[in-house]
Amino acid sequence: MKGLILKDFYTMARYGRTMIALIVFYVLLSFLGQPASFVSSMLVFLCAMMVVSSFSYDEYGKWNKYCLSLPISRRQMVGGKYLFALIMLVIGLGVGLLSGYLLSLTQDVSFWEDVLPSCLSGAAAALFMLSLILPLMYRFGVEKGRILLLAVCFLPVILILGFLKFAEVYHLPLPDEATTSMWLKFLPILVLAGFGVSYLCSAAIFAKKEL
Amino acid sequence: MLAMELMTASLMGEPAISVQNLCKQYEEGKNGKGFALEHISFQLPAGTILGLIGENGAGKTTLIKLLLNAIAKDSGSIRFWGKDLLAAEKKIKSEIGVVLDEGFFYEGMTPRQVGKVLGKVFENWDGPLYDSYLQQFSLSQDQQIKEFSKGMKMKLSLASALAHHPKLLLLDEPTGGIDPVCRNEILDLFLDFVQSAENSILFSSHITSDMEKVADYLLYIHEGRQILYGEREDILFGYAILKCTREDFAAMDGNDIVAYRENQFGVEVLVQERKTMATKYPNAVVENVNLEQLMVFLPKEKKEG
Repeated sequence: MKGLILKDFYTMARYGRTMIALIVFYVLLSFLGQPASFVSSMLVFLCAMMVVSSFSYDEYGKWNKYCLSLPISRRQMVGGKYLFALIMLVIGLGVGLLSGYLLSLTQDVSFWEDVLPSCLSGAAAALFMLSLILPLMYRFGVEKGRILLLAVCFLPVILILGFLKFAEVYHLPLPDEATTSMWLKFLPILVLAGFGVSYLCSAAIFAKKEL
Repeated sequence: MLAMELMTASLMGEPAISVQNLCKQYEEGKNGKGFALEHISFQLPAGTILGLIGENGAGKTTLIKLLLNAIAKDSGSIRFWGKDLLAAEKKIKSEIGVVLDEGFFYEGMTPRQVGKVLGKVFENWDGPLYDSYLQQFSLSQDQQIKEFSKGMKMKLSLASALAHHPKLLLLDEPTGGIDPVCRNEILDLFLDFVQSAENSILFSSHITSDMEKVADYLLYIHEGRQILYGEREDILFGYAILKCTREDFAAMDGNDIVAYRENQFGVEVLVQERKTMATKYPNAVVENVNLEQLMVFLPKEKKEG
């Protein structure tokens, strides 16, 4: 498992330069007026999504075929990917919070009230997306998975907009702020649990995959 | 415990690989017909080299994938040192070194990084041995894999497959597309490896001269069917080519003809029992057969169906 993570880091090391360029781009954006909270949460999201790129590197080099010849079980292969995703998320949070903190010094933005919550929700959003996209990538491969990724990105938006429209037409009461914030407290647990379920799905899909 | 058993198994002369009646059917795809590997049975005795031959698409890679459980078999048994593959998969895979036709590390990585990753994967990884292989092959530690030639990539794959002291090498087309000098280096490496009596190699190739150089046993697969399996010497001395005129061919006993090929000078007939044939058909010229001729002739075998 350690070997798998190390390999993902070596693979993504070259991608790191692109990442740094992106970080610089977003920091510049913030000087042009985007709030620190937006910039830092985007960074969290981007880092977490790097695992998707590591999938295409794997597919390009037919890594999984080779990996199966090593004394590593299929379950460990999937586990390694999920762990890598979590590690990237933590790194993303680090980068996001740090840059958010530095930016908040130059802007009229509070770190504790703006940057931190938006970084955390960026992390939750990323984890939610990954939970959906990783099993799809294992099932359909990277190319189709990428197309599905777009669908996955829009799905929550469509669902929420659809629900709002539905509520408006049928005059359903929207949850008040107290209820929403109560649910929001459970959000991290829900998202993490979802990630766990996603791992089980991916492991089950990959167990039967012919490579 | 299992290591003990594996060790005793090899001491007791258990074959490194033993495959019985292995079958795998691919479902018919949208644009291609279904492919099947049917009733493959062979053994690889410890300390020997088995050459897997067959034309492109014959099922060599499919067989190697089955041996690695990369695809699931439909029926039959696969044993390594007497242990069932599925029951002891991880232990078995820690004792074998594999080179695949395609599938390796991301090409932006360097040999040094490959060694570090594999060092975490194999418990008995031998870093200094890996380094010495790289040195022997004149491969730079810090060059990206994508800058290597095909032969260099193969050498890197071999160094990666050898550095954990495996007892068996499984190699898919290790000499394909590689120049003769480099190919000979690789074949010499194989012969060195099996100097140790418990080490064995299974390698596939369609370069028959490589097989004639190093293989002790041969397994020939054609369109998913096993055509030949046995010791190389037995196979090559078991057949002969008989060259004769069309008239002589017409007069031949049909039972003697394994396969034949007509050309502008007459007919070349693949026969068995060379000495008997030479006396039975004194007008014909009887010649040794080589592996390439066997590969060309045998699929044309005249048998029922």
